[in-house]
Amino acid sequence: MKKIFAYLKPYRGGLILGMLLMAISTVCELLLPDIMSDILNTGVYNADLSYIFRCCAKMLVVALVSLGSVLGGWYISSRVVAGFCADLRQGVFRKVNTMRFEDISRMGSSALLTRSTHDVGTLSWVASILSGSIITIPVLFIGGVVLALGKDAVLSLVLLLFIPLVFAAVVKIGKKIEPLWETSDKYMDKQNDIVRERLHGIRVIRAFNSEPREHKRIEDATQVMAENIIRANVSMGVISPLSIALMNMAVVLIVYLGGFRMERGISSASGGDIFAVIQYITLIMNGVVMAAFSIVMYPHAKVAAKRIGEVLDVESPAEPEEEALHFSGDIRLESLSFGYEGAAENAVSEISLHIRPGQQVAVIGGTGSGKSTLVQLLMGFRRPSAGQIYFDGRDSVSISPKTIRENISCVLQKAAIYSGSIRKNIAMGRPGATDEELLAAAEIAQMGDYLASLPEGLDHELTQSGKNLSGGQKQRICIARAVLKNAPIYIFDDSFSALDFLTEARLRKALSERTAGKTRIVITQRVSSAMSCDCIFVMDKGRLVDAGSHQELLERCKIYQEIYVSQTGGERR
Amino acid sequence: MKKKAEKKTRAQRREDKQVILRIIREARPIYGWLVLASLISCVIITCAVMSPKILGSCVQLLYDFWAGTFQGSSLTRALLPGCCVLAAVYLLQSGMNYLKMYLLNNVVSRYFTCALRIRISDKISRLPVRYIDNTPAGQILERMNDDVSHLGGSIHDIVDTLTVGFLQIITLSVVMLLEDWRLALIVLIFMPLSIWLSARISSLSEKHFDEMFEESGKLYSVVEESYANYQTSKAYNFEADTIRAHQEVNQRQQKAETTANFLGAMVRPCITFTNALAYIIINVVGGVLIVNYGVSVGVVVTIVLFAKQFSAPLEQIAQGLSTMQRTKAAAKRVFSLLDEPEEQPLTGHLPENIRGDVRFEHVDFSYNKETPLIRDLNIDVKQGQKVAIVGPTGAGKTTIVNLLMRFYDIDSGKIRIDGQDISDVSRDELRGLFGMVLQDTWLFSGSIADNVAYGRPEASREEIIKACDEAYCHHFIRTLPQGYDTQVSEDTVSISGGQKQLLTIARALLADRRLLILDEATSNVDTRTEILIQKAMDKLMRGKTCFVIAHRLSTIVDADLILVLRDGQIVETGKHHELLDKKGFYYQLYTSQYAI
Repeated sequence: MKKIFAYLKPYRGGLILGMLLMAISTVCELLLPDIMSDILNTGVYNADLSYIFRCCAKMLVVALVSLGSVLGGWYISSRVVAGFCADLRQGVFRKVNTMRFEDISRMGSSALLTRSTHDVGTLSWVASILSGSIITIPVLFIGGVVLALGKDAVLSLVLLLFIPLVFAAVVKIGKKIEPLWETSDKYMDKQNDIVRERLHGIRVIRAFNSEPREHKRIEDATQVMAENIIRANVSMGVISPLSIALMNMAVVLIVYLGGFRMERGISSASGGDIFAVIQYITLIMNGVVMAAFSIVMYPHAKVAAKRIGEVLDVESPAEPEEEALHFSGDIRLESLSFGYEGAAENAVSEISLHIRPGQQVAVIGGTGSGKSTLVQLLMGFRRPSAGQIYFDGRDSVSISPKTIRENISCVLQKAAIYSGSIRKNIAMGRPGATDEELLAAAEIAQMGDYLASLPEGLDHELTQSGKNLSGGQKQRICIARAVLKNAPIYIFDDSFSALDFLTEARLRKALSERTAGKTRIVITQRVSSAMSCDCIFVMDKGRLVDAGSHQELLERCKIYQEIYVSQTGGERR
Repeated sequence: MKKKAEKKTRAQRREDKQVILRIIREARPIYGWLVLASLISCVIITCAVMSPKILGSCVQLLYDFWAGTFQGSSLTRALLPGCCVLAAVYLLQSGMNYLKMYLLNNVVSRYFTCALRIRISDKISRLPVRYIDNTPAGQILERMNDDVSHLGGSIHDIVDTLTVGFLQIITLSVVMLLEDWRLALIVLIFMPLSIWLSARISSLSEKHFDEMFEESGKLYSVVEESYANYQTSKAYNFEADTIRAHQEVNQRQQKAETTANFLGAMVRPCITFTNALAYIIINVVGGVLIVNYGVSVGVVVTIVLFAKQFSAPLEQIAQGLSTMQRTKAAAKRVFSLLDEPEEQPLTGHLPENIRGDVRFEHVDFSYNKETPLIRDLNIDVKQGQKVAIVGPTGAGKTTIVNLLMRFYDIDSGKIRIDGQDISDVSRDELRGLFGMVLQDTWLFSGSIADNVAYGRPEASREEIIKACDEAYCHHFIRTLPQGYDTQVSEDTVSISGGQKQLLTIARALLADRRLLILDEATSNVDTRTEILIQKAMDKLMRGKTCFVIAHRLSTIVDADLILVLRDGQIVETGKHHELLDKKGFYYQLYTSQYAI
């Protein structure tokens, strides 16, 4: 919460000025009925036309000032709110981009997405409504009450009696609505999930002729959701007729009481005074309605602010200075262990191995064997729980992660495609590369034919996360990106899985030429991807089980044999 | 330039009119309720018209008393009936307002938000798979939620505006004219002015709101993309560029937001100001009238109160005009989904006791007209045979599945099952013949038992357990804390990808269909699970006619027929050894996996 207010600081001046202008305009609005009653009392009853004109001129000035200041106020507050929200969005986004991977996985990327977009949006929505009107609430209240007191104290007290009544009702209704919204939100999510699930599983559903069943599930969820929305809307809808009824009762009471006191001669208030008090009620009512809305909206904003605050409160890690290092490709792991936060067992434990410059190695193992964790550690995404990683004999902890990543051409398991041209996607590897270099990298990644088939070539636009690409095409774009970077160390994390054997074979050949002299690490589940490497590390349950060439392992390593048999049907070559 | 714009608006106007007519037609089942709501509105308006008049006469009494012109015996006694009636009218007005709100929520909202959603869901049941394949899920969801709720919310507004807003203005005008035509005219002259002004500003701000929503959509994509590709961004030290890209869109959004919010907020002050102007002129003219023409103070007070009442329906109409545009857009999208062509219902039947012979005769098929995919395909599969479909990724292996299950219709030729042409056989009946295990292991959110019994909901727990046992998943299910009642969904992480696949095999085993379609790809599955999957699939295939999208050598080697696909076309067919001898594409494909 405190962190969020810090984002308001640069706008303090504007905020105050905006509120001041709003307040001026509200005061003007309060003055209008007063002038009106003056016109009636003094002007009309004394048949003083020139007084009426003077008052009307005064009223015109007040109305103009009110219009001018309210427009100015809104203009400033629109700017302040938009600026504040933009800063906040930027702040949250920047924060997430410098977070540690531990924090990212703790919060979950979909939650972070909601916080960076939806929650900031909610806050900005509330802020834009409140910024203009919040100041008018106390001004309307206090001003209305003070002015009314000036006219007739007793009648105003009647007014004061009704206000808390209205508020109590609003607060009570607001409390009732909250759980209703929660339930309807929950069922809205549920309905969405089922629809999404249904669209995704359309083939299975149709195959089992179960469309009617799916339809029924959606119908049920929709009904619960609609029921709750309607109930919440009905409860909220009570606020306005109820508060209007209460305030109108105040009007009736004031007229009657005013008459009563006049008759008894207790009060010196004139008919015009009583009329003015009635007019003030309308204004105060506006304030009440606005306050009611603020009260109903407040929980939304509070939740959003709390969630954004959680992101902003995460501490960014301190990292060593970046250096202009160029690795030779010598990597040594020394009893390296790592466990994910909250996990009972280590994902990798006690791994020691040495990869020499220019060596081509493979890491093979099933799911849960810890091979992808190894990539996380090498890339500096995570820090070892115990043990060390040495690049050229230097402990990785003392090197900036940026410097390490500068020296690794990495293709991650999940093919990352950015919306934009193919050129943009590949050029990420080395910004400023020429078209020849880009095409050469694409050629090595076996996407030359694909590029040639596109009329726009490199400028072909890709949609978000490459929805218009097949899995194999996505992987090849990511490989081209890594090839273009051409760092001293190459890491391929299961990045040939969507390629057919033929394409993979060609790719491997082209890569061997390009990466000659560079260290290459292939993480894979496929024996065919590993068998040509200088050395194959076999992993199982987080431990390094064996290391050697394909032939050696085939002879002595039981796990490797199992993998081999399951993938080839036992046929030996 | 201007002419062109005018032309466009004319075509648009016609379309708009149609959408509005459609909305009105759609509302037919609730006409009765809408009439009732209008009647209630009439009561509310009557109250709204009466109350200032009564209040005015009460205030007149006060003025008279103060000025000494009061002629009754007791002021309070004279005030009492007026105050009582006034209180009753106010209460009636609020009560009716509540009733109308309750009615509109329960009828209009329920009809438009709930019933319309259910209709869309029903529509999905009958949409062709082709449509669902080509439409992003997000788009359908957006129509079902955002557009429908927008429709529900704004229909409410429009009904309110039409019934209350216009009726109120008309009655108020008439009553004012009767009260004092000179003062009434002043108010009436200002009315169109403020409607025009607010409509102008609204449409201006609308444009900026659209821009703002568009930019915020883009911003969402930027954030979504960068979080989804977080590791890659880090691996390429790309954070600074990402932040810069975000900043650019962010600034554009900020600009649009500033303008849109400002313009949006301008409507109310402008209406207030025009009202104040009207107020001033009424006072001046009213003053002149009172002084020079002996008009009573009460009349002026009444008109002033009426004039104040004018602002509420005016604002409502201005609001209605600005939401109208968005409502029409939302309605258009919802209706276009509801109007999508559906799968043609077919009524033909298959003979009983199907053996499972499948023949493709001169089948042509393409997903779009420009690129023919399958040309003159002939396959003859006998009962119990195994057909393997092999080929590189993206070669269209799933096309065969799409045609067999009639997810897509062939362009020409015939597919026969046991000699019967399936083109007019009921889809439900046809699909009832097949069991399916797809690579995309689809689990719906529900218990494990429900998921396994998906193809046979009436199956007993014993049968479910038996199927799971045969599919080698009984053991791991028992280790789960809730066993067969464990809740799972598509993105369940507590069971692995391989285990999910075993569950779908159990599902197919339990369904026990004559023909089988299998996609045996098993990426991300550890070796031991893979062996189990293989064994379970072998069991499943026993004695059935199978179409297997093959990734394993064992399947390919002993298949009765191999279809080799490349770029969507079947380039070779035959048995394993025949194809190897051909030294064609299959040979390349097969040998490449051992290449160094």
